[in-house]
Amino acid sequence: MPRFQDHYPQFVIFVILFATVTVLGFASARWRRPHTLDSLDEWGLGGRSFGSWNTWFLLGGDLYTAYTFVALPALMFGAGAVGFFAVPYTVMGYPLLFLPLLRLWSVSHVHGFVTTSDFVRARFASPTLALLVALTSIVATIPYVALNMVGIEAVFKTMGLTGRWPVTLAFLVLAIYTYRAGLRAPALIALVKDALVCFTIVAAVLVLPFAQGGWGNVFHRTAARFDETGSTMAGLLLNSNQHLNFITLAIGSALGTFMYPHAMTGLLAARSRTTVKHNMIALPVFSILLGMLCLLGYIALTEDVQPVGADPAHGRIGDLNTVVPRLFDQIGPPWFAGVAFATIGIAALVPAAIMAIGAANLFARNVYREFIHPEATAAQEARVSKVVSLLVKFGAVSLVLFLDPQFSIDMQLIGGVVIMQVVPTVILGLYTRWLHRWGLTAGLIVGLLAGIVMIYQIPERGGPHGAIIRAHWGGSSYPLWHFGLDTQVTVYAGFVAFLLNLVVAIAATVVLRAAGVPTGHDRTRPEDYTADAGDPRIDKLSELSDGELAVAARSG
Amino acid sequence: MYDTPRPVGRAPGARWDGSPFSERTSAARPVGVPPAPSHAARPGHHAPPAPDGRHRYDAGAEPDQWRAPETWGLREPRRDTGSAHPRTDAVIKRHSGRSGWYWLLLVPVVASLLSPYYNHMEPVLGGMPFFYWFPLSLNVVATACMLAVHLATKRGR
Repeated sequence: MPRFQDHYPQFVIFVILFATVTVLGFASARWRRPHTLDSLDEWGLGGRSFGSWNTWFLLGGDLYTAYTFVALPALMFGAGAVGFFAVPYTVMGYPLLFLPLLRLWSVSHVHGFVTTSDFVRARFASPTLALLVALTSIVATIPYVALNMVGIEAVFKTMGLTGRWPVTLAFLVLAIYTYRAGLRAPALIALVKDALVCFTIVAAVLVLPFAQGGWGNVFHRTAARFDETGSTMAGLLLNSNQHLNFITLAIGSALGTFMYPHAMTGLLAARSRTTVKHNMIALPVFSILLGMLCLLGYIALTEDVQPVGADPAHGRIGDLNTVVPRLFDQIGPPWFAGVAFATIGIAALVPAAIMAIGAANLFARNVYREFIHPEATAAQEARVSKVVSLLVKFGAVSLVLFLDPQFSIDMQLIGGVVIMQVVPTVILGLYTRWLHRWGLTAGLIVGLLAGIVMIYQIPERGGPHGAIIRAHWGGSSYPLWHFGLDTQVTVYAGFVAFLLNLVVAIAATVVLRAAGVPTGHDRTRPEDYTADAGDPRIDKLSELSDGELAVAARSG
Repeated sequence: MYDTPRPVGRAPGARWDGSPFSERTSAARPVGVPPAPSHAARPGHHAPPAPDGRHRYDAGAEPDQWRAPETWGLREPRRDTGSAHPRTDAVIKRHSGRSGWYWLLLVPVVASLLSPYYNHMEPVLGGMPFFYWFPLSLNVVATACMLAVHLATKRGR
């Protein structure tokens, strides 16, 4: 077990950097200060005014979370090549969604949508479908917030700090400044986060392999380690049963990522279509860093890093999330380890804040305003969103502190599967209104149920012979023999659920259209999907200066 | 105009005094600041309801169809799509959402999906097996393809 006495320098650096971002967080309320923060556009979307650079830092800080930073290398450490799905996944995401996201940005800009559910509501005229999309997104997001805390916790554990107070304190501070400043706080902190991430990963990737005589040696030794364990699953290359899982996991994650509310929040905060395009083009830079980071899992393997709580004599693997922090702790000088720890800590804050804002916006817009208080003013809406963002954070804290963190990990696994189920409604909805609202609703429900049942059926296996450790919730690789096929091939459960969802939606649409069930009134028009900021076709008050707005408000 | 009622159907010459932007209040506006358009509002910035108490969703498309008040925070933009804006029409044409260049975006996507074709150790690059450096390098391909699409389909060219 690491001891706190040995980690004073790391802790001091961690605290200094953490204090810096806290000051930034509080100062951010004054950044591009609007007249009032009392609307979702200002509090929840930073005034929809971020240019290319700000959005790039924001989305980079948002999509590449602390949990990814600790969990992906840990997956490589434990499972080998399959963990590298993260790279095709992040490669695919941007070109695949390049056009749909532009359309989504445009239609949201024209109509003032804050969430994906707003779009669904306007497009399909179905409060039920919009509610389902909102609830699915919220349920998928809360464990994701919790997992970012697991990321911070892994750092504290590595520094020998146990107990609940460090994580609670970190999140309390985050909650306060996000409450005050809204999206501006994480947007400003993201600058620091991304700079630290770039520095830490580039330094680690430049220095660490050469301590071992280059990447060639790292891969040779990793291969040897995988051979030693005799596992049939872990290896430097995929075995023939893993391809389908690898590909479906990559495509499923790519489609699902941008359906999360935090991705939407970052996207809609962009100022113009061009801003969005620039970002899609420039964000793969972070994907390269992420890929490099994954490979640190192999370096940890060859450096014989032992995760916290590992006990090889008794066959205990320990907390794999501590692999990366332990690697930095073991290899680098103390100051570097301190910077790396702070990087992971700050990398947890930015997405956690944005996720909480995104989930809260969904609640304020698509539950509170839709069902509880339809006449709510913008200020009331913003207040509800602020309070809900606090609740989301504290809910996530209690998930981690009072329940087994494993519960959050299982929930996040489910979250990844369920968030994919809104893809047919949102992405296809951007292109066509042929799919019937009730068909989409039916598909969504079937997809959710199927996904959850499939994950439930998957046992967790461990050890060299693949013995079953837990009977249920053991991962997302669904064996095809469940479908009566005589094979060891596995597939990503979310992808199967997604296909089912699509089939049900299409079949139900055919039936509903034949039966003449009304499809509702579409509030969007074809030209909305290609509109840009300052477009002469649309006229939007938020393009006026704040001074004019204030005059308008006063005279009202 | 989901939550922004417009005064409609009033008799010619009748004054709608409920408007926050009506002429009466314009004196309060400092000189040099143009009047804010009366039809627009931010979400929740409520203009008072029309004199007949009814809200109307779409003034242009369905002149005879009245709708119940639906206020869920979304604004309906004012549309102006006639030939009054020749430049706009050109933009619409230019920007119809179709371009052969878009096929380029499929290149990195399809390449990423071909895992059986890159699941090899050889050729090694800088000590890294093909399985690792190939997908990583696809990030550069993805950026290049998106950049090409962006430049080729840019507006106003």
